[in-house]
Amino acid sequence: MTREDAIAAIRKALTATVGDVEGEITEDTNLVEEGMLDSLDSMTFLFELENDLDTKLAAIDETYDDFRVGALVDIVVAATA
Amino acid sequence: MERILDVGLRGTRNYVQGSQILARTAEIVAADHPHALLTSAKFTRITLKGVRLVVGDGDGADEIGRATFDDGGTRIVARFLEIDGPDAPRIDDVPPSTSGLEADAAGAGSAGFAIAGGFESYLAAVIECVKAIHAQRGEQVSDIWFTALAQARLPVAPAYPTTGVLTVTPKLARMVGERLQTLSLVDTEGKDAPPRFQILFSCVVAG
Repeated sequence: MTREDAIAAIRKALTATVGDVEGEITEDTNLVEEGMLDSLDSMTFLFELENDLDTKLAAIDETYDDFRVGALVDIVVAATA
Repeated sequence: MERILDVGLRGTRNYVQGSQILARTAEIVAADHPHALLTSAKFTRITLKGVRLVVGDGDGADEIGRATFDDGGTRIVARFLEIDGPDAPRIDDVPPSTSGLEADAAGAGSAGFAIAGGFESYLAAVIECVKAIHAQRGEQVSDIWFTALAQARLPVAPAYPTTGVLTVTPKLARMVGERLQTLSLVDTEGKDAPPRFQILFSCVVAG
């Protein structure tokens, strides 16, 4: 999966979680700090992302708290390689 | 529309249950939208005060949660605000509605249920089941709270099975602050059972 594909998957999971998202999402976007997700939404978002990719993202463990899109793209690209 | 919800501190609990807040809200929504479905809900904090319902988007420092309903494509947002005043009144506890719990240390499990078949009794059974399964986790857990549900299609009308089986499948767990946040899938077996949905709980894990 390319980084562009990964961003598309992240946007899709975001939309499934909170509805349509206005504005551009780049690798610099932080989904939590920019108010797109709160802590409860972030759980559903991660589940939707794994579900859509049909892959368990092993890097998303109990300590995971980095919601920069760039960091999520790294995880998605590695998990789907 | 604004309304004070008829909720209380059930049994020995020191908080107003989310299931009560959602049930009273569902009754109010059902009066104008009898075919509405609860699609999501979340509680950002607990309260032992009274709760005011405000229907419509917005925000406020005293907001403790919100729920979203769908009525044939029309989205209805319900916000829950803590009332600045005395504690909510004490009300009687209700007997358990689930039985035969089987659970493992990973947070998976199932239980049978026997309920009246309404929204509140169904939701109470689900929360009772998931809470009991969390209590069976290998770690020492406490303060197990229902915090949210998502991707749901739960009728506000009394359209639930009166008996059946609930199955809980854990999917995600993350530490959020000092608390472990979990996401599990709930499947319901029974006549006219609602479709699978996500439920979120949080708890304190010692050690």
